[in-house]
Amino acid sequence: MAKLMQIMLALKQVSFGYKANMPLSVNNISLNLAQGSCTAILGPNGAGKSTLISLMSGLLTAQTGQISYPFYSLYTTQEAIAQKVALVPQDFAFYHELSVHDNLAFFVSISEKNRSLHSNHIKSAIRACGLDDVINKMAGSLSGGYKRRLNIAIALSKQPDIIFLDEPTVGIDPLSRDAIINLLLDLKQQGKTLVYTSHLLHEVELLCDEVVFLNNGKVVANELLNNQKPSLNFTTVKPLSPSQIALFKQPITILENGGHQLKVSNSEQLASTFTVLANLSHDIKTLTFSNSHIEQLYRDLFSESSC
Amino acid sequence: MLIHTVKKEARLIANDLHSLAVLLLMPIVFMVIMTMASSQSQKNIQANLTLSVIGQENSANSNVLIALLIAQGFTIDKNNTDNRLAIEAGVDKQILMRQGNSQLRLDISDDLAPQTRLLMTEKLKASLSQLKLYLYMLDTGDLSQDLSLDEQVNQVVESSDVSYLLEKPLAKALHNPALNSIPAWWVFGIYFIVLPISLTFINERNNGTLVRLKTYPISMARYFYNKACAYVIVSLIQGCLLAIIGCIAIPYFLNLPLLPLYGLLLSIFTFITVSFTAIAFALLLASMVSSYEQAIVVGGGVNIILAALSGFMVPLEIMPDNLAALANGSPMYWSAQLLRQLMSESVDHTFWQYTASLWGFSLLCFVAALCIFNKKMRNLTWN
Repeated sequence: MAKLMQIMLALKQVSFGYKANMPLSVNNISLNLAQGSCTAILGPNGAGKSTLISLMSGLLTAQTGQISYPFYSLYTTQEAIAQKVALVPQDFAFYHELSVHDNLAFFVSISEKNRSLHSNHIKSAIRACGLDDVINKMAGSLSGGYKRRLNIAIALSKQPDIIFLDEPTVGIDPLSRDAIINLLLDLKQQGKTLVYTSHLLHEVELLCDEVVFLNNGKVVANELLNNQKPSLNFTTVKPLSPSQIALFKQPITILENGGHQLKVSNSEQLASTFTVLANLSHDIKTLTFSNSHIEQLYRDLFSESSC
Repeated sequence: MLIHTVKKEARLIANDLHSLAVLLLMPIVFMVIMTMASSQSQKNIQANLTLSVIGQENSANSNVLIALLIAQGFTIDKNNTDNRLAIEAGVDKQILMRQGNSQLRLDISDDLAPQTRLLMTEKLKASLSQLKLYLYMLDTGDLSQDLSLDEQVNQVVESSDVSYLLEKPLAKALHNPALNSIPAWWVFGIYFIVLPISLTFINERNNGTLVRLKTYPISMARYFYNKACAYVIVSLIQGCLLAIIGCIAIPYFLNLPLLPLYGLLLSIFTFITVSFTAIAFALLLASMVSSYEQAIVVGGGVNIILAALSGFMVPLEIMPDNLAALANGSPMYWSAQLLRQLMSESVDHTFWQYTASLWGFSLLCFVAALCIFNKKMRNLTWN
């Protein structure tokens, strides 16, 4: 049964530019973030990802358009909304000279006015992120994986509904990465809304429900990841003729780089595709099989704009 | 939140050896060295008043002059080649009748400090004045020729003594050499809090903590006030530690009179005034810098220049007038003067002038720092 999703954050034709005589960093973007969803914002450097996240998290104010929080009442104060939004920067945004507990205590003291709740918020963040063993250790002396967890724990100690994460697994070992991915999946299950940026696209596919591709401040593609299919890509020595293309049972997409792509959803389709390819073998230059739809899409979209 | 901010800032400093060294070790080392140096300086100058006298055969009064030089504190050492007094022929005639050119030449080693050179010249002039008096008294019969040279010299020294004209000064703490150095380096250490503050600001900005905090339900202005309050408290703790070390421990170990503070309430008020000014000034500098290098150059450099202008390194009285006048515009000088007046139990109307100046200066700095901080925060975005 389809689950009815509450919209937590809505952007309507939002634009923002840093200087009047320069192109807009975010240009007329509309977007809805549902409760319990994970949305990835992807794009090359300078695409406008940071500006878009700054706008969504309240760090910047939109110059045109509207950013609203439909889940909250009209009468909810800006301060209360700020309480529900948390950032997890890529850098370790905490005090390395303080212990794990003292870091959490400091941030909770700012976010929560009711002092009787401080202890609960700290404990729940520690438990959620598995920091029990290092609670009294200096943050600076923690391993990379624990530092990443503390970075997330500080965000969680705010008891947020929407969490913005910037490459939360960068530079850590696979086991720590798995732990963080599982933590983020748990948060989704709990109904937290995640906004995610990362260059590790397999993580995006694992975590996210939707991917927003940005370039030059505009949304260039918006993909839902709930219906992914593996894809087969090949290039030929010379362009395929219409009769050759007609041999394939699945529709073929001709990519910008001259390559061809088709999607296969079962073994039967795969077998028939290989049969056709075998007949064309003298014309095939490259052949790749990819189950990462996002990665391929990323390459297709940005192969020219990236260095 | 203030308690957590104070705890946080105190622990950040306590866990950073460099900050501790800057805030405590450096002023203590300066206090010890400069207090020792100033308490020993008189002795050292006296030890440097050594010279040889050559050409004694050119004057019938050479022996008298040498005896008078010794009475002035000179040590006559014929082997000393650095400082020499050369007596040339015809000097007696010149002393009595002012005829001819100068017949005495004083060569002083270039290694001696300007103050010592000046003292040596002035003491030689005093000895020559006494020689003239000696000759005059012999001529008038006030000095018997039958007396031994030592007795004659004693009589001349007594006759030329003018100390009875001066009112005997009260034995006050002002004459304690520690009174110049302790308040100066105490204030210097307090103002150096600019380095830990700058480094915290830069760290918070660079590692994304400020961006994170910007999404918290607290205005950045309030965060700034809390930070300022926390640092004032840290500075007061630093001030109390320096007070114990500077007013009690250092004078005690250097065998100098202790430096008691005048009135508990007035002392607390002064500590708060000095700390608040130091913090406001530090916040202004910290809000302007954007890298560690800038923090060290601007924060450290400005403080060292202010300390030099305030007479901490070179006494104001030997500075050129224009340079010395600049001290009157230095908050470090005002702060040190407040502490000096407290320690010397000589609080006068200038105490309140300096206090008003410090509060005015600190409020200006604080408002400017807040404006710059807010402007920078407005421009702070994700990444």
